[in-house]
Amino acid sequence: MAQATDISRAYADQFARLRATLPGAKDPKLSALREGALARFAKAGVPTPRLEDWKYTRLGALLDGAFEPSSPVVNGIGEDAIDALSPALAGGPRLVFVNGLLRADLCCLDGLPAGMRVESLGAAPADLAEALADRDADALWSLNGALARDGAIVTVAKDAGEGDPLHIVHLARPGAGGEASHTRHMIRIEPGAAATVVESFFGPDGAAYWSNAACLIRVGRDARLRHFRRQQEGAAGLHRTAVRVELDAGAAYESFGLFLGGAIGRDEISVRFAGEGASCTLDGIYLGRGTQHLDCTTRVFHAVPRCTSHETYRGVLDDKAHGVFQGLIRVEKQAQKTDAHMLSKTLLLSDRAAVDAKPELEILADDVQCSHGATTGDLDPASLFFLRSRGLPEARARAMLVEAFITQMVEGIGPDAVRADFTAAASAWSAGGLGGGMTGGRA
Amino acid sequence: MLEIKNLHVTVGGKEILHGINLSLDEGQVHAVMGPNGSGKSTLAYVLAGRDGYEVTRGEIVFDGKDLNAMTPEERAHAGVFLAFQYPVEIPGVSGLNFLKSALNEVRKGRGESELDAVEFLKLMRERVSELKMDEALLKRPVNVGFSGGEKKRNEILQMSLLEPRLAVLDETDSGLDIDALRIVAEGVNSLRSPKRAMLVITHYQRLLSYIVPDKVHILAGGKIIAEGGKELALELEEKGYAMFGVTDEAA
Ligand SMILES: Nc1ncnc2c1ncn2[C@@H]1O[C@H](COP(=O)(O)OP(=O)(O)O)[C@@H](O)[C@H]1O
Ligand SMILES: [Mg+2]
Repeated sequence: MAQATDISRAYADQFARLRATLPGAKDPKLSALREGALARFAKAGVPTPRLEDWKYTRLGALLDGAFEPSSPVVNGIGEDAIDALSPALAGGPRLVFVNGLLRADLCCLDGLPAGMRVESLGAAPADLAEALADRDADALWSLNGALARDGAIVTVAKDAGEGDPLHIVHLARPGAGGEASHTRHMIRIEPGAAATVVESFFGPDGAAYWSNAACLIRVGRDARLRHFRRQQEGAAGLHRTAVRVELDAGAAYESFGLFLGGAIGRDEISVRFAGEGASCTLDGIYLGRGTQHLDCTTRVFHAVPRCTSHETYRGVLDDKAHGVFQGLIRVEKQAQKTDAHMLSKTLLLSDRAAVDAKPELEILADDVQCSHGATTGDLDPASLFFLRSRGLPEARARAMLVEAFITQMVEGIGPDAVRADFTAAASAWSAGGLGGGMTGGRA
Repeated sequence: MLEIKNLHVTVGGKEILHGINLSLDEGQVHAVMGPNGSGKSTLAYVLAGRDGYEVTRGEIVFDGKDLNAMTPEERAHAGVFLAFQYPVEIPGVSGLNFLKSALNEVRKGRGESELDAVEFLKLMRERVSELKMDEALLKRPVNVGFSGGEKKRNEILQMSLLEPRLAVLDETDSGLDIDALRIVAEGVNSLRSPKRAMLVITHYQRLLSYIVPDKVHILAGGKIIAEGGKELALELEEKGYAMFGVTDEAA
């Protein structure tokens, strides 16, 4: 493990090299914002398991040295290749980021829903200060803020109806390895509007790379966002997504994550209720095999009365895979009539697979409905026996029950195209295909 | 066809069956009756090969083979079928997908060709209508949201599709109203054949007025304590298990 100070210095050097090219570089206020973020990162360093919040996840190669900024890729990726990654979503509106940079030639904005506006980070100077916000950030969010070269700013106008899902594709094409991309997105749904956004993360097997994505979301009064994430990084990929959501009164936010790629993955989602009567559902499923490490961390802050949060996470872990589910629900004293439930279920298919589940309820209000539950185990022996007694060989019976466990989550996805996309990805996993996504290195 | 000899079975370290002898020939239907807790389901499970049901002594010979050495799926391929007393719900697995997989695995196991989707649907529809089941049920996950009677009918549907050589029906009558009972019994009777044997496990005589057995075995305390013709069931109905000096808390 390298010295934390060496790593911080290396990232500071990167920042010094890049700063003139970063969006907002000419604006002294934004420069100060970026410098502040860099300083906060330098102070905290890459998180280690010594931090309570990172107790179960060790960030491997990120602790060994700094990852270089990934280089722009010009050649060798066509629209067809992007279509092939998500056939069910092909043809719909999409933004494509390759190595963290928007690729206009691969984007498709034809079917963009009425009222939805999308811009790249560099083309939206007025929104940069908001997008690069660094309040209550952790070290990786701060590093992302210092180094973010691109991202999407999505704004859905007041009362706009829900159209087709916007697909934001992140594709890694690392060179020799040890490269990182830090994308920063911001999604704002204005009052009364509705939208669906799908984020996908793909990368080749082979070289190690780091995808450090951050997404800031604000859902306005009585507005609704359905947000899907499909994490299918390459086998040696390191993945970290942080989603921070703020909900105004009456707003609804629904998140569904499918996490099946990468060597180490950590998906973090934090929801803060800023107005009464809002709701969120956070659902996710993590599928690991080999030596994969998949961490899902959620935090829900009930700061105002009468909000609802429901979380259901499921994991399937085979071989020596390691899963983590951390779920914090905090209900402030004034947040009466809160309804908050959290459930985590993990299937361990091998003796060497393991999961750490840490539900945490901090409840300061007295008139609330809150619960959490976590179960871990093997397939139900009675179901397995039943299927075998009907002639299904053990391996097939097991596979059928594993798929059923996954299907029960995925079949609840609302938008047809997204359900089809996630179902296909989950089935490919069940059938034995590894996370991967794309094979082959940089063209 | 089925020869159970001096069968001792232990479950969870406790001996439940203490030396069962029972032989069943092709074409025959035998009833096994007994009070709750007498070991009827244990006998059914051990025939189907459930884990944890350990044969400590004796043997089960089925068509000349040692059944106890076979996995549950091998038994299914060889023609053993158990209709469960408590059918299992399997959320996330569609009924149709399950039935098709089971049928084709059993056909493969018997050296027959697999059915394609069209052939399967045709066969399935035929059997579903014979059992007066609602086809829409099969689009749902297996047994999820089914009433007790629907679950039992679903067991019989599986039996009629898989066409077993030996069918073991574990209290298929329990929880059925009289109409459902009649339909289930008709389904069972239509499957009676000179090539097939059935072991009908029941607590009450009621079912046996519809499915008339060739022979009745009374099981109590893990032993067969009496055997006879179909009249034995009637006598039992009249006098209760007390006629054998056995108490039955559910009677
Ligand atoms: N898994 C088990 N572990 C220990 N004892 C069991 C188990 N299952 C059943 N038994 C016992 O075995 C006996 C027979 O049960 P069972 O075969 O279910 O009877 P029946 O079907 O006739 O009601 C009962 O005393 C029951 O308590
Ligand atoms: Mg029983």
